[in-house]
Amino acid sequence: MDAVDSGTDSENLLSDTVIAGLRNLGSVLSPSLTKTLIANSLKLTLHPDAIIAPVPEIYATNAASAKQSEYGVVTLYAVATKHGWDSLHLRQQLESLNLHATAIEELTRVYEDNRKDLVLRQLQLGHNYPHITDVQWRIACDVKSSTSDSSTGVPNFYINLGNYRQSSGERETIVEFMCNAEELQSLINRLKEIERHCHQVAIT
Amino acid sequence: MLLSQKQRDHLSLLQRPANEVVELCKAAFEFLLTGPNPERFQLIANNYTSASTSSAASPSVEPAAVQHAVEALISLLIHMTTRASSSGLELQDLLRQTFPELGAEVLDVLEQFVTSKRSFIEGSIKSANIRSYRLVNLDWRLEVRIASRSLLEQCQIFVTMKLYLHTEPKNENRELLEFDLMERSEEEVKAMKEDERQHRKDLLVQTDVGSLVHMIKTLEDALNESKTRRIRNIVDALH
Repeated sequence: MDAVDSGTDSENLLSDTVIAGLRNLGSVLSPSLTKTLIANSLKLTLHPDAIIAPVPEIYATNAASAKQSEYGVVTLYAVATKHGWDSLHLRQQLESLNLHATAIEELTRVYEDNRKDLVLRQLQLGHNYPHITDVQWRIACDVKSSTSDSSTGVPNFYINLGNYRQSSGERETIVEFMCNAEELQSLINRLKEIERHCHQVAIT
Repeated sequence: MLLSQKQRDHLSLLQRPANEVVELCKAAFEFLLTGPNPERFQLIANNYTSASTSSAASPSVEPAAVQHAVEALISLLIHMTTRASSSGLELQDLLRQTFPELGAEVLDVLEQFVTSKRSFIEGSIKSANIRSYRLVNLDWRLEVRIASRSLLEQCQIFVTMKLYLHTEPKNENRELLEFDLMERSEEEVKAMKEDERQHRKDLLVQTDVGSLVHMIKTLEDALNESKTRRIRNIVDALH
């Protein structure tokens, strides 16, 4: 392997602990348990709060090495996704680590099948400002208040910007503010201006 | 009735010629716009004192008394504005009832005082209630994220926005808060900073182009809905 390629070489990117964990697959762990373990590790990576059916057999004989294998699979997929490996490259890397043939097959197949989801998952990681995907609004008009006996006679808009949590679908409020019709119109104009600029950038 | 006894006592300064009451009313306007001005109160007090020594009728006037009178005038302005709009009474009658001891000329001055600032006061008291944040400005930036720690190669378009939110009630009043910092004393600047901390909030958010289009569409729906006959009728009926 030449010097340029060695930057993404699995031996540099994967620690000894990870490699040892991967080597347990198909050897210490039976092929069928290996399959289950890889599937569970992937599920845990994609949906951290997913409920995974317990498989006591995995941990029955050697719990520590099974845990190490889970860690190995999760790390392998994270590193592969981060560096944009295709499944062929992944297979080559695994072969160079002298893994068990069934482990290589299964790891490559699962990676190939879930690459897109892994990329999307890793796009979510890291620091981001609160991301707005949803707008709620209500129109209200005051009738009477503790400071005034009469209505202001204008409807007010209460705008709530938020998003939906990806795991639970629960809605989260990011910001809520009020405005009158004029202010709302100017907000819409401003957002349209942004959209126009996005469009221009897309064309050029 | 409308005013407390204390406020009435403070307004005893109104028992003087109409042109002097005009001065007091002007000082009250100033107070509304820029806050208390001790020099001005001193000046008015001096004038009153010198005027009263020449007529030898009443004792000298303290600047504090002028300030109290100005503050009581503002109370009067607020009370008159709320009362007149709900009771249906003519302002003139209301003033006459409140100050039977004052002459017609002074009452005229007071009526003018109340009517000229009515919409300003009305706007302020109606929105002085429970204040939620208002969006006053929005800065934006179009960004393309090309790499991150967890994904070295990517190309994601973001719109990053900074929302400026204030709890100050209304546009016209907010303009008054756009002070020129150069002309302010350290204490005033400190007070303003404190006010800013309490009433302003800047927020950084982001969105993607798809969500942005969705936002525009949804907000336009809201605006269009507010223009429907149904909503207009309800709002008019409430007013």
